[in-house]
Amino acid sequence: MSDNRRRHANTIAVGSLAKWIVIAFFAGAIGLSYVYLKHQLHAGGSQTVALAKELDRLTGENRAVAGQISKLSSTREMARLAKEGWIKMIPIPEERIVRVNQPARNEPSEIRPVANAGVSR
Amino acid sequence: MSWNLRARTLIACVGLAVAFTVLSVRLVHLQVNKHDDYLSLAAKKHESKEILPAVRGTIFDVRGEALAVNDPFEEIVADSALVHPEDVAALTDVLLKPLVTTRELLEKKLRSGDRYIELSKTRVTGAMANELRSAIGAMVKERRIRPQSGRAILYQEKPARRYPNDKMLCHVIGFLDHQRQGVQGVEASMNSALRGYDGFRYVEHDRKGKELGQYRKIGRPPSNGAHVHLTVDTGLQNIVENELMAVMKQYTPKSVTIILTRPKTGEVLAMASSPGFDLNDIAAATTEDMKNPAIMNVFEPGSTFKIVAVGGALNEKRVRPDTVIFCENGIYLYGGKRLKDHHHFADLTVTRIIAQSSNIGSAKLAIQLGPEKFYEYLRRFGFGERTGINLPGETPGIVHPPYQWNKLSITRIPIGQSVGVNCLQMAAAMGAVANGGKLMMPQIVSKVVDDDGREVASFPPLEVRRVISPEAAADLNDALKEVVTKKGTGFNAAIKGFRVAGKTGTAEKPGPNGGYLREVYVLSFLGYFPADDPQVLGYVVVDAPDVRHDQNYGGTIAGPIFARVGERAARYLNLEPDPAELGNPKMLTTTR
Repeated sequence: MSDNRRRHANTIAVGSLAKWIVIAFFAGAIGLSYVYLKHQLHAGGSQTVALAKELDRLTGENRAVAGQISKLSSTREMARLAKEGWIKMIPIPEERIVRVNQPARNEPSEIRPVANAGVSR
Repeated sequence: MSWNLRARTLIACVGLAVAFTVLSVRLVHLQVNKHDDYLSLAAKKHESKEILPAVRGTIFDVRGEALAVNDPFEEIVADSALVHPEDVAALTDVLLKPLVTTRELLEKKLRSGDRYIELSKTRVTGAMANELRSAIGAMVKERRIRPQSGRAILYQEKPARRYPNDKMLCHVIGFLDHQRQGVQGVEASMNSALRGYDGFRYVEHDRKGKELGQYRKIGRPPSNGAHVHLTVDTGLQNIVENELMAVMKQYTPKSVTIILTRPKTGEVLAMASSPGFDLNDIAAATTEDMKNPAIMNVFEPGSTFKIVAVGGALNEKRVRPDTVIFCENGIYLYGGKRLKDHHHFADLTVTRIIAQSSNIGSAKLAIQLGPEKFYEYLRRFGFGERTGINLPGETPGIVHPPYQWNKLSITRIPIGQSVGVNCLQMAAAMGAVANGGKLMMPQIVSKVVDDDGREVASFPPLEVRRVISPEAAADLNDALKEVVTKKGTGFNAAIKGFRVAGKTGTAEKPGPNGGYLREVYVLSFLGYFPADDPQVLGYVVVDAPDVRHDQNYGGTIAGPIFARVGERAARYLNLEPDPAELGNPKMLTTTR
């Protein structure tokens, strides 16, 4: 068989091969992309769960701290601290109280007396 | 091929064909007919419904102080079957401090082999539990304990309700049962608003039970409970409760109740009774302690009830404040029985009947009204029906209709006998007098605000009805002012700087076998101030105090309590004193 005939008889179908290579490449790329995206989805899901748990934990801690703050700033606690001397509250004697507020009336155009009236004169 | 071989081949082929046919039929049955069943069965294995608990709303006072809050904690439990005996000592070392228990007890529990054992009653905070998790995780990593022993320690988050003020306002706030439903107080009456609604979502797990976040399905988010704001002011409540403690110590009565309200709106500013109970330690409280005496106890109010007969007579214009009534020199024979006054009064004006608390004068005013009309006023003042306050378990009291009365009822009911009331009814009735004759519904809840801060409900002042005319209310007010003077029975209730109007009550206590107990009284004072522009109404009820015979009067025991509470309340509320009442007209211009 001459070289020429062999060439004709055993020709490589480049076009067809290229087509299959491209198809295989795309199929591979799609497969890899699928795996990659699936992995991303999985990782994202795990992250979501972890963040949701963290958020729950923080919310719970926040609530617990808010409860503690309420306890520590409650009237009963303040009264206890005042009784034990942690808060120094000096009662104001009656004679030291200056009452400057006049009873408010409802006339809209009324010029009301104020505490510093006459100071600037 | 022999027949035998052929036959055997045929049989084998047929057998195979039959087997494959059966298999195919079975496959079709499983894949097609039973598809949905197995799909749901599979889903059940890796899919579950996760409940997202709603957070219960907070209860606030009028100034925004939290009175009931959520304080979740973690309970530490163990699957002691997983704990290796050699790891017990190391685990005990790390658990001992946060669990606040003894080493012996903890080691015993960890060695018990129980699959579920509570290691301690101590409430561990989330932060402490996290520290514990990290410490045990580090021990496993460093191979100081086996991973299996590390997994044996379990953490369970538990919701909990905390009451920052412990005993304060216990009867009003109430508490929850083990299912976190309110059973008493505002926790019960506002339960539907406070509780919220749990949400849910469907989640999928892998074989190890780890959630697959990517398959988390949309469910329903939880709807947290709304926050309830009360009309009560803890500053005033503290004043009242401190006074209660002092009274319990000084007079050792069976119980004491003090209510402060704003008569123009019906808002309850403070409501306290002693004995009370610690809201954070319900197990230690008795059932009797848990009852709110201010609304649940029925008692005969005594002379404070005279406002009904006098108010009715003035409103019907049967009498004027200066009308003189003959008070029979202290002994009045009616219906075959004697009705006595504490003094031998002859002629008293209607004003003096109130000021001197004449039983005979009040009875005669009720007789003038007649049973039907007097009963009408009883009901108009709100007796015999619940006030409608937003608290559970209120009693309507006992007011019999006239056809059930005996001959004496018309003379006994006007002086607060043969009738059952609760403290809040009395406060509301007196509030009607202070409020120009309008009966207001007592309010304890001012508003409900959702989790986003939007107001979802409000409780504005609600007028129930007009009880008496403004003129009659003004006349009665003048008479009540006379009570708190040197000539009245309630002069000990006077508050420096404020004109007080009020009425004393010294009620005998009914005995279990009929009649009244000797020397056992319910002492009370019901009043308001400033008398001409009422801002605060107070009712003090002291049940069976241990005092001398000559002190056993409402004006002597309850009056001063009212004065002390009223003075502090006036300062707290920054009420401006009347210079005339202070006896120092220069007060307003005085400098240092």
